[in-house]
Amino acid sequence: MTRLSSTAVAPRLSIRDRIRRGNERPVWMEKPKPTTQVVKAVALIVICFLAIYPLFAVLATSLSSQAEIAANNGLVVFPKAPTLDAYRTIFSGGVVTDALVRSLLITVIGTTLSIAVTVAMAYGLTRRDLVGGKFFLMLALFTMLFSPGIIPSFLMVKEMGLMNSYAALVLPTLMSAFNLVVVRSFFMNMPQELFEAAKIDGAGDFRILIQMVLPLSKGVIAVVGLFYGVGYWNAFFNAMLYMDSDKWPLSMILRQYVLLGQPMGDAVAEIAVPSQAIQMAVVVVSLIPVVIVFPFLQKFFTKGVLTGAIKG
Amino acid sequence: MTAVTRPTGVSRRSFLSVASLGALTLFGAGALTGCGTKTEYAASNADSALLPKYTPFKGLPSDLPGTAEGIPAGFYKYPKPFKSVEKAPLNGTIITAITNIFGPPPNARDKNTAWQAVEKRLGGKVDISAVSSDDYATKFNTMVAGGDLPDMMLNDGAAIPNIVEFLEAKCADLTPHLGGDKISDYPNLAAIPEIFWKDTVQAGKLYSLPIPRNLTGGSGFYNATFLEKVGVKNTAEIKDKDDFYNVLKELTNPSANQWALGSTKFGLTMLHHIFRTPNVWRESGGKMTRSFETEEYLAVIEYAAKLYKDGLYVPGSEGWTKSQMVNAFIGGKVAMIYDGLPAFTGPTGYARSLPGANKDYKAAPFIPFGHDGGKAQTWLDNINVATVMLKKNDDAKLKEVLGLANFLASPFGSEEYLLLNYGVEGQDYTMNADGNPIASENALLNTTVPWKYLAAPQQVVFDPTSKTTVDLLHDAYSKLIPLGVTNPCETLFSPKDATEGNKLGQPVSDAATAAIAGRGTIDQLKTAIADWKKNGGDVIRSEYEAAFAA
Amino acid sequence: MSISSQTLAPPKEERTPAGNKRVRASKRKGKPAPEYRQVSFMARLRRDKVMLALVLPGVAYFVLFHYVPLAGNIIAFLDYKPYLGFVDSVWVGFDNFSAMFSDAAFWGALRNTLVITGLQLVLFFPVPIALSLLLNSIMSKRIRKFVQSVVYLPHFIGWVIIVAVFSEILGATGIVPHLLDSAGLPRFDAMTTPEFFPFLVTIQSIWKDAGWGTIIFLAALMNVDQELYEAAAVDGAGPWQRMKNITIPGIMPIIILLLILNLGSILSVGFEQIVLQRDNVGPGAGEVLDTYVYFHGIQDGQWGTAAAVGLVKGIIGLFLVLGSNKLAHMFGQEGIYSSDKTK
Repeated sequence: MTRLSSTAVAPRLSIRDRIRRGNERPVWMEKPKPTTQVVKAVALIVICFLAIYPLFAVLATSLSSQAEIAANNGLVVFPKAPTLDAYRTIFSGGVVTDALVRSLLITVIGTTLSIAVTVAMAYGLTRRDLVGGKFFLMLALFTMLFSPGIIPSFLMVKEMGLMNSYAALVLPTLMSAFNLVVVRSFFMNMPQELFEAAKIDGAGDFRILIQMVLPLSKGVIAVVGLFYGVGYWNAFFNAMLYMDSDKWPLSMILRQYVLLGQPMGDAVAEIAVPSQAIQMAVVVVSLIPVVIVFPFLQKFFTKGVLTGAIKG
Repeated sequence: MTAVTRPTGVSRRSFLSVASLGALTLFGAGALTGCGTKTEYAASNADSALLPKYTPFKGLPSDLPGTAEGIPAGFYKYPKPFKSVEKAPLNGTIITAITNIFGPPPNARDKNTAWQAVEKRLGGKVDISAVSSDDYATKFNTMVAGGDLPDMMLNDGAAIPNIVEFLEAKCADLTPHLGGDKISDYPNLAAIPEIFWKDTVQAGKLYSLPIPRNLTGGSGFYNATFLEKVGVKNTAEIKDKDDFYNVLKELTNPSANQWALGSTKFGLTMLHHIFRTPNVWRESGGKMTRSFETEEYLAVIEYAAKLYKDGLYVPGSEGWTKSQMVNAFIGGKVAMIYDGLPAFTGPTGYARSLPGANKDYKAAPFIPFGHDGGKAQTWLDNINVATVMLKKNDDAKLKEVLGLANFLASPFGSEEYLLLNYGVEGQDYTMNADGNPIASENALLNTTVPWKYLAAPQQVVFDPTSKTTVDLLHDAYSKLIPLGVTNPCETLFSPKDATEGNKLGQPVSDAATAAIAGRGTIDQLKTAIADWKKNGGDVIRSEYEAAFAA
Repeated sequence: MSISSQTLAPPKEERTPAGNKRVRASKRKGKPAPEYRQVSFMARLRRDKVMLALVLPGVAYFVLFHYVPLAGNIIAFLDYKPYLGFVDSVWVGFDNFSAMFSDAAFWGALRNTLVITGLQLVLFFPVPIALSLLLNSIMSKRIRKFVQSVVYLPHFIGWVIIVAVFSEILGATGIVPHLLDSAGLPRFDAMTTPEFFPFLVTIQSIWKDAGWGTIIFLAALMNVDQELYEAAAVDGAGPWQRMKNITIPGIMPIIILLLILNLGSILSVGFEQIVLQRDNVGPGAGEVLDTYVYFHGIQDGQWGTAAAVGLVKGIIGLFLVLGSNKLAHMFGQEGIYSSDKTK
């Protein structure tokens, strides 16, 4: 770790003191001005309120009756008589529970594969004069600008015999050029001297990746892992195209609930719109895994990992 | 209404979910559909050898009678079940199908006793690929492009623009199987009245099976409690547009957070009915006029603009999502909205949700009056929710598929209807003391297999929980249907309309919205209409006129 | 960071806060590129075999799932009918394009798209950066963790709900106009004022995605060499100077990278968000390219039109990416890929 981090020199302070003084402030850092502190605090409070309020309202509304939702113009903040009806509707019958398990598996396996392929390719492309390197990079980049269209993609999946197999939910979206470019950029920004030194010591390209690059890249891998994971978790479109309904992931099933509340105007409705609580409960249900996983990823977003690793 | 009281349906002919938001409310539902027949063919004067002969059931006593014109029968309770189909229609065959599903998918077949029970009666399997109406065009077209046509295919009117070519190339002509007296082999299909079959005729041939609805989507709903407060017992009693204006004025009190009107896209349907705007097209002596070319249409827009200007609409309500509109109506913020009549019943239907929110509130279907003291004119805009096309197959296979359809069209009151809609007795539902099926809570996802979007009987009005609801709804249909007009182009085909109709119509719809909201003028609307004619509207018209004359 | 090493190569000793950018450039100097060049192609191939093996699965993916199906964009030149297939559909040449270019509504939609994305680049793009800098400056681990794990959450709320929430707050009968009323100020309906529409959608986007956008910058921030701060502080640089000379240059490569990638998708604005609110303001302000395609092609089942607009968007995006990348090189940044000079 950084040699001079203040955690080591800040003995026995009350929590309040620590928060006020900052329990991580390095000794070389000056105390911020009180006005700066106040401005920052206000900004943070406003930002947190703006972020939490809608979610809190979504959660509260998902627990409300249709009558109460209507009385509050669609958004309840403090439900008077909370009810789990919306969740009961969603979870009744076991279809959602099965899909939950399916979705978790797809997300975990898909994310792992995606990270592996992305990291490998990004690392390979860090060599500036790699044979065909620029071509491969442009090849990837180009895919961000031109989309292949639904029908040709469908035909490809069909030709590969992936219809109604879970591979159809992973392979067609295995990699995003965006994440590739981001990971590569992070790799390029690492101190290359380290790798040169390792090479002189006889380490091969693959060993450098595994033993040096990866440990230094936990942060960016956590980031693209989050992007991929959220992508797989929320993806419904390919499931709609390629899968029978008994293999649908959670996102697709929840979408079916949401669409019940969506249709508008132009045509005669088939039935009454279900209570808006269901729409809100869908948001909550799909958010839960993200809320659970994020804190685990968060530990990779800690300052000083790189420095610490290099110097330590 | 539909006898099934759990959430199932959404709008027909919507393309993407958000799609339906903007689309063509101002034109009425039919605008989104490519109408029936191609230019060279005649279909409107479908002859009797073509249309299946209507043979109603005998001996099914209803509490409120239906008519051959399509007014549905009403039931306060489920009749004593009878067996409708004796012989299993399939011979161990596997039939494939693609259709819509609303809400969550059913439990998988191997865990789904109701599904297994149905297939046992069928004597074969049906592999159904089903997605919501929002995803249907995408799913259907990819499937078609992949070359796998299922035996049964839902035609929602939006997925295939060049419908006639598609039918001729890929679909079975059902005329030899169902036309005229031939339908007697399939008595449940024969019990569907003629008006529902008219939609299934394309290119002079019977190409598909109807999935009937109750003809009209209605004129909207109102909060009867509010209307009574201002002295209106029944909206049909309102004298004319000035009287209506006064009523709306009395219903509006912004400081109390109350408005008379407020609907997505202004909910113009009720005004169109009051002003007698045509249902998409008007035919007169072989000449076609698009609804927005008429005086009536312009009068509606001008009237709505006045209502808007005078603050009788909730400001900004034209951009509401459906949920916002429903909340505003249930919560008492608005007194009248436009939504389809099917939204009246069911657990979250207005009949229950309004009193649920406030025990003094009562919802009622809006029955229109004439703007000039004359009669109103409603639209028959919900005849079929969709139709089902059958893939070209050998006769034996086609007969099996039609037998399957006959089974699925088993009428309300039959054992088969109970099985298809409620599952297995004792397991998925129980009969209560009144003889009404009560679904068991855990079995709901056993019965969401979308059988009723493959073939279906004529609908009835049925709500075992409330006699009042049945009475109100049956009364509404009885009053609205006789005032109804069809879209004369519904069964005609115009290539231009099929491929550019929405694109050409959108600027008119936008100009109308702008004129009402005060962002634009009536003159700009007139310009948009003139542009429509110039850019392709006149071509569409002449194509329809030619098709009509043929 | 990934600055072209040839052009900027100050001596390593120059490691001062002020010269930070150059310092980082020098770090990369260790790579003896010219040396590599001299070896033969076969020797390079041998040298690169591990790297190429690592690149291969990714390339295979892009070829199989992007390039092969990409050929399907041929439907931009067809009157495509799915049941006829690519071969039997009628070839219409550039009809789909010329119809589009001669349509005034297309140009209106293009203008609106550019106004909205332009505004988003100016107003939205810096917000996640500022927010992550703010988060980064919080010394208390607890508070930082808490704020971090809260700000990204709105990303997961769908547009239908967000738009509904906005109309309950800003709409004509919402909270804000009521407050304005009671304060005796003129009413302002943010939802239905066409002139305000680009700002409205930008504000909504910021609310939904600014927090989510911080994630990548936070990861970049954590890669900034902490020792530089200490050295700078010892040299007497204040907090603002440190931010200006260390933090910002440290994350500049990723900022530039994201900026360029954003430019590539400049012609795509959220379809769902816009189409939900288009009727509030009318097409004059609310029609963007994606809604244009929807109303002028997709709804009528015209696959070719949609593909044509997609191609036009892609080509413009390509020019913007290449151009901005070049611009980045001129400012000494690497951008997405290195310029030819640095090879």
